This record gives sequence, C-alpha cells and structure tokens, in this order.
Amino acid sequence: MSDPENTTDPVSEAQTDASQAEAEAQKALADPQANLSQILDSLRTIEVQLYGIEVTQQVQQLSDTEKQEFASARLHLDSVINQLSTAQLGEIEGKLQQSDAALQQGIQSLQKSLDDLSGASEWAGAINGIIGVVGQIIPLV
Amino acid sequence: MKTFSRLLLPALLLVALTGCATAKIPQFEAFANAGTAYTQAVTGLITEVGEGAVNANSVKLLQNRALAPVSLSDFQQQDKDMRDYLAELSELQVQTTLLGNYFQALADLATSSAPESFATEVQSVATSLIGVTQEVRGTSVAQSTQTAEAQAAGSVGGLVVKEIQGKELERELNAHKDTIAQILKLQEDLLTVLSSQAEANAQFTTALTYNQQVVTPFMSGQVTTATQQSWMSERYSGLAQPVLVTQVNTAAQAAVALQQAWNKLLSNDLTVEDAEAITTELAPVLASLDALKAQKQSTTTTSSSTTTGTTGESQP
Repeated sequence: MSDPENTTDPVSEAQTDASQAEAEAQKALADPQANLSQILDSLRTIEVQLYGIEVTQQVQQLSDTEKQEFASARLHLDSVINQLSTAQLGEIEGKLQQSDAALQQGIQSLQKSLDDLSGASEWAGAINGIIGVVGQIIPLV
Repeated sequence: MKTFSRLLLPALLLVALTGCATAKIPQFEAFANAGTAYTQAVTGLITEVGEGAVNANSVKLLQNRALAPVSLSDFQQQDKDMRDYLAELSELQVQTTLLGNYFQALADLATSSAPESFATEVQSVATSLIGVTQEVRGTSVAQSTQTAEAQAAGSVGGLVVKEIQGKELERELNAHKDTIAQILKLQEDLLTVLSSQAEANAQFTTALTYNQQVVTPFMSGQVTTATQQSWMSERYSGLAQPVLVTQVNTAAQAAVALQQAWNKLLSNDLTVEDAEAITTELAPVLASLDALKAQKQSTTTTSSSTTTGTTGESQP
C-alpha cells in the first residue's frame, strides 16, 4: 500500500494498488508454489480499503461513468479474491482426496473385523444349538 | 472345585499374557468419540463459513449497486465465484464426513458387545456340554460346580474375543497410522484457512449493521441516556471476534489436539481423559451449531412471506 501521507487522490491510489495486487494474484493462480495465504491477506487489506468510507466518499464525487468503472474494478478484485479463496481450499481438498482410498479401506477393514467378532458369538450360538439337540438325542439312544 | 480351578488358572494366565491390547480398548473408544465430535463440528462449521461468504459477497454487491449500476456480466461472475466456492466447500464436507465414517467404524469396533455375547454363548455351550457329558458317562455333578465351570468357560471365551477386538483395533491403528496423521494435519490446515476466510467475510457482513447501529447514531448525536446501554452492547458485539471465527478456531485447536492424541494412542500414552477433553472442548460448538440449525429451520418456516429491504453502505 502507498504512503497515506502523500496520497492526494485515494481513489486512483487504491485502484493502482488494486491493479498491482491483481496482477500478483493472477501470477499466483498460475503458480502452484505461490503462497496463496500471503497474497490473499494483501488483497483483502486492499479490498477493505476500497470499500472503506474514505474511498467511497471520494468516489461519490466522480462522474457516473467513473463511478461505474470503479464499482466494476472493485467487483473484479472481489472476483479474484473469491477465486483465490476457492483455489486455497481446492489445494487442501486435493491433498485430502489422495487419502480417500486408504481411508475407505480402513473403514471396510474395521467393518470386517466387527462382522468377524459378531460372527464369533453367532458361531458359538450355533454350536450351542447343536449340543442342545445332541443332548436331547442321547437319552433316547 | 478342582475342575473350576483348572479352568480359572488358564483364564488368569490368558489375561496376564494378552491383556495389553484389551486394556487399550477404552482409549480407542474415547479417541473415536472425540474424532466423531470433531468431524460433526467441522461439517457444520463449513456450512456456516459458506453462508458467511455468500452474505459478505451480497453486501459487497449491494455496496457497489449503491454507488453505480452493476452490469449483468459482473453480477453473473460473482454468482459463478460463489457457486464454485460453495462446491469446493461441499467437497471438503464429503472428505470430512468420510473421516467421520472412519471414526464411527473405529467406535463401533471399540464398543462392540461381541465379547459379552460370546461369553454368554460360550457359557451356555459349556453348560450344555457338561450336561451331555454327564448323559454319556452316566454320572452326575453338583449343580454349583456345573455353573462355576460354565461361567469360567464363558469368561475365558469372552476374554479371548475381547483380546481379538483389541488386537484388531491395534492392527488398524498400525495399518493407517500415517494416513490418519496426514489427514488430521490437513484438517488443521483447512481450519486455519477457513478461519481467515470467515474473519474476512465477517468484516463485511458486520460492517453494515455496525454502520447502522453504531456509527450513524453516534455521528448524528442520536445516542441518548435511554439508548446508551444498547448502543454500547451493539458496539461491543461489532468489535468483538465474530462467533463463527471463535468456533472455527476452537475446531482448529481440536484438530491439533486430535493429532497429539493419535500420536499418544500410537505410543500407548493416551489416557481416556485426554481424549474426553477434546470432546468436551467441542461440545459448546456442536450445541451452538445445533441451536443455529433449529433457529434457521424455524425462521424458514415462519418468515417465508417476509421480505426485507437492504441498503448498500460502506465499511466503517
């Protein structure tokens, strides 16, 4: 951000900062090694200033065309921030997805162990039933 | 009595030899419960972060519209961004739910009643066997001895199954120790990102109310002795950390605590209290999310015909 003491026109100043930040952001979107958090922090700082009272009051005094251009540029910056935020989440989601198969396999393995354990008691129950029948037959033999 | 001792001795020996895995079952259960609470909280928080993002975006759109007409293509681009963002959050919810399913499967195995059922069945088998043996031999044994022998057999059987249960949990722990550690680290990263996004969004959503309820009345000298208290409360809630951010940060701490608990479970150092502390820490977040959900459901049903007017205002 520029030195506020030397700022004569906060609107054009903010727009220049926003354009520079946007260019950085576009580079970051194409670079997988870029630190998205750092870039997003800078962009958000600019965004807050662009929506701040000081800048907004200055913009109110501009012509309708300039106001529209400013609003459009501000929305464009919002869009870049939104896309970077989505990319930031997408990066983590991609890494999480890599563990999907292992996690699914773990769930299946645990369920199989549970089925086997339940099967053991059912098995014992079945034996008990057979012994019961044998017990009924023996007195008859 | 002699027969009973013959059965009791191997049973005690079995407990002494194989008790290690069995002793760890309560830790597995407590950890799995903490993990389940964590994934439930994160799934709910993701929904809230998504809603906060769309609301903040709406505030920005309205502020721009208050300044100048917004082109349809600009509006559509914002819609597309938000759709993509929500879709990504939805994918993350799927991933978190999958982790929740894992913890649930772990809890199901740790809390299985199979050892108890098996013990009952074995006891029953033993009773039947003793009866059949007597029939074959043509002898009779005192009823109390029969019962004691059958109970001992049931206990041994139950212990064996309990031990198998412990060994299965231990096997699972070793099979996926790296995967779970990695996922929990990614969950921590996710919550750090969600926290910063929620905080940035809250700046815009609260700004509108803050301007209307705090800045405007103050600047125009409308704060009187009668309204002073409520004005001060509004100002405080506008300046304090948003509830959602606090909740996401709590979940982030829980993600760190879960990683530590997982490592302790691996090194056999985890106590039930350690794991329960995570569940306790998350309880207010879950309660608050439930309350919010209920509140939203009731608002949807009661205010479907109500429309609200909005104005675009600047950040304070």
